Parts: sequence; C-alpha cells; structure tokens
Amino acid sequence: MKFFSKKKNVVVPEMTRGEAMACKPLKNRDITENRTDNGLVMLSYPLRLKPLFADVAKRFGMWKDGNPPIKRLELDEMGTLVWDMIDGKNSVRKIAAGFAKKYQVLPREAEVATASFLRDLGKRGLIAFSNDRHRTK
Amino acid sequence: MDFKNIAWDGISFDAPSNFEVSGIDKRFLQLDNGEQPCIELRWYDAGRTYKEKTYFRQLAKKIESASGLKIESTVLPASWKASLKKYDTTAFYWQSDLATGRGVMFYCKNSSKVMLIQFIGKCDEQIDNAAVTIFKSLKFSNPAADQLWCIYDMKATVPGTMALESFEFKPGRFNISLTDQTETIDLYRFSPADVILKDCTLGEFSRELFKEEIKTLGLSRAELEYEKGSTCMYGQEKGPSAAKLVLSKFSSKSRPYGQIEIRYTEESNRILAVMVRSRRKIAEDRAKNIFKKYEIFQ
Repeated sequence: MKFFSKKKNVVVPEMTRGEAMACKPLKNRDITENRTDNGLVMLSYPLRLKPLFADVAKRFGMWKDGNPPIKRLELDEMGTLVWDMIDGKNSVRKIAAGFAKKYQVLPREAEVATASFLRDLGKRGLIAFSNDRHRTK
Repeated sequence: MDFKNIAWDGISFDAPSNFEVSGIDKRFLQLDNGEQPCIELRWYDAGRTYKEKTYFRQLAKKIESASGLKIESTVLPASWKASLKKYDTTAFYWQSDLATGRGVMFYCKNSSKVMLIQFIGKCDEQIDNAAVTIFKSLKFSNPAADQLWCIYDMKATVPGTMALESFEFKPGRFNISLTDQTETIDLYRFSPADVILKDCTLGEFSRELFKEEIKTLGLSRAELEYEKGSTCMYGQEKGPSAAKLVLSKFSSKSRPYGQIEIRYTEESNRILAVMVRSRRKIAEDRAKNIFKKYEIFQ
C-alpha cells in the first residue's frame, strides 16, 4: 500500500522570518492620502478589478472618464501610525519596533500585528515591499 | 546571558531572553531566535509503563510518515550529559536537504511524562547553551500543588488540577482557559489598553466583551474607578434557576455559577480579566484571589 500513499509536499518558505522582517514597504504612488479632522489617514485608491468584473462595472456606469471606481479606506490610530512610518527606508522590523514602543505592547505581538496589517495593505495594492537581498542579486 | 522563565501546560523551564515562543499548542512549544524556529518541545503522558524503545520507534515512525525525515538514534552529546543525568535518555538526530536537527527524548518517572526536545539547525554555542539551560531548569508540575503559567507577558498561578481547555494568542487579545471537574477559569489580557479605552469606559468594554456570559449567568455589575486604573466586578445577585442547577447535576460541562472581574492598570497599559464559572457556589472573593496570583510581567 505504501506505493499508493501520497507523499506530502514540504512547503519551503521563500525567505526566512528574519529576511521577511528586513523588507522595506513602499507606498503606491497612485494613492491619494488625506487626513481626517482627528488626524487619521484616509486612503483613496483605484479599485483593482478582474477583466470580467471590470466589464460589468463599466456597463453599470461605475467607470467614470475611463477611470476605475475609487475605493476609500480610513485607517484607525494604529494603522495611521504604521502608514506614516512607511517611507521606503524603514523595514518591517523597524516599523514594528516603533509600534511596540508607542503602544507598550510586546515586540513579537507588534511584529505579528504590523506584518499582518502590511500584508493586507499589500494585497490591496497600496504598498509594495523592497528586499535588499534580492535587489543585489 | 539573560534568561526568562516559560511555564506552559505542565512544564516550566528557563530559556535565553532573546528566544521567543513562536509556536504554541497543548503540550507543545516552539521557540525561535528571531530569525527562525530553533527549539521544539513536546511532552506526553506516558503512564507508569513506559518503554523507551517502543516510544522511540513510534516517534521515529510518526515523524518519518509526516515529513519524510529519517530519525536515527545517537549518543548523547557530552555537554548535555550532566544536566540530563536524572532521566533515562535517548538522543537522536535527523538530516534533510535544508536543515539538520538533533534532540533528546527522556522520561520523568515522578510525573509519568515523556519529554521530547529537539534543536533545529546548526548546533552552535548559543543553541548548546540554551539546551543545557533548558535541561537544567526543566520542571514538571505536580498536580497536587499549584501550577505556574508564564507565557509571553502573562503570569498566573492556579491549582495544579486545572487543565488547559483552550487558548488564544492574537495580537491584542490573549486568553487561557483552564478547567477541572467543577470549575473553569478564564484568564484574559488585552492591549494596548489606552487605545481600547479611548472611546469607552472599562464598564462599557467589559459589558460588550462578556455580553453572552452576563446574559446567560445573569450577572450584575459594580464599577470602581481610581487614580491609576479601574475595576469592574460582575456577580450573581440571585442564584441560578432551579432548572440550571438540575442541568448542572447531569452535565459536567454545565457551569451555572459565575463571577467576572476585569481590571485596567495605567502602568502596564493592559486590561486583565478573570472569569470563573462553576458547578458550585463561588466564594465572593474568588476572582479577587485569582488576581492576587495573576499579573503582567515585562
């Protein structure tokens, strides 16, 4: 029966945790950044749609002047702090350390929260990550 | 080198302070050095009839089927011998294309537990020192005595009879739920408290947090505020209904009596909460007494 047993694929991470924490987030230049009255950041960015959904959106008049619909995202106090630290020079680790210091949370807790928030911003296309190790190659 | 104490689910040990818990489960801990996981601890109840060879064979088989790694027994490294002399040990190693590891399996007669500790990656001085420190400081808790729980920044001492039921370690929200045959104790820790309490009071926060429990247990609240923090206590003015009491006699999971205490301290910027649910009437100062041995350490 061993011949038929499915061999498990071992997933090898592309980079170590340390390398991931050394990545530097960069803001997408297409984003409009506004401040609300209470100092929080409001981001406006073009919605990324798959071609099929883009066609539907166009038919329903959501596409104005050839531009895709704009989505708005208001960051809370902690999100604003992280967003303000994104300058292409600060690494994820440095941003997390700043977060931990400001809010007196555990360094690891700050790292998990910051990394998760940045990953979410990355998925929305609001930021990208630069990796010095890969750049030098 | 600085060390910190870690106590989880029946064991406690010291580890270098730069090592962090990066993986956690019932009877399992994984530590990393900031870069990658480097230490894994697993422990099992083995009963009084422990057979070293059988256990090792089962373990090797399990790992081989899960990861394809071949576990080989080997001699115990010389530097580990002194600190492990009180146990019956079996040392092992494994090697893959990407990493290597070595470890030791041993049996503690007093607690009837089998411990498995493995060190992943290059065995440099840092790992070797960490290994010796862990072996020397490792303690198995005694169910007849109080048990220490010391994980991340939470530190609590509860009766040794209480077993881990569930846990949650999400950024900003930690929870450990412990239970025995009559009582369940939930320990909570929230952070950063100043952000959580920016637009609400501790009373409002706790009312929302324990909405379900307040309703099902029929709890009423008393709130106290002082200069550097505040406290909210929830208790039962009336006893549970007759139907709930009858149900608790039939179902061991039913806990009709309840008490909650939640505290905010400015100094630690944390909110701590203790919830006690029981099959028997709870003493008025039960949550307060648990708080005497529940703290944040930084």
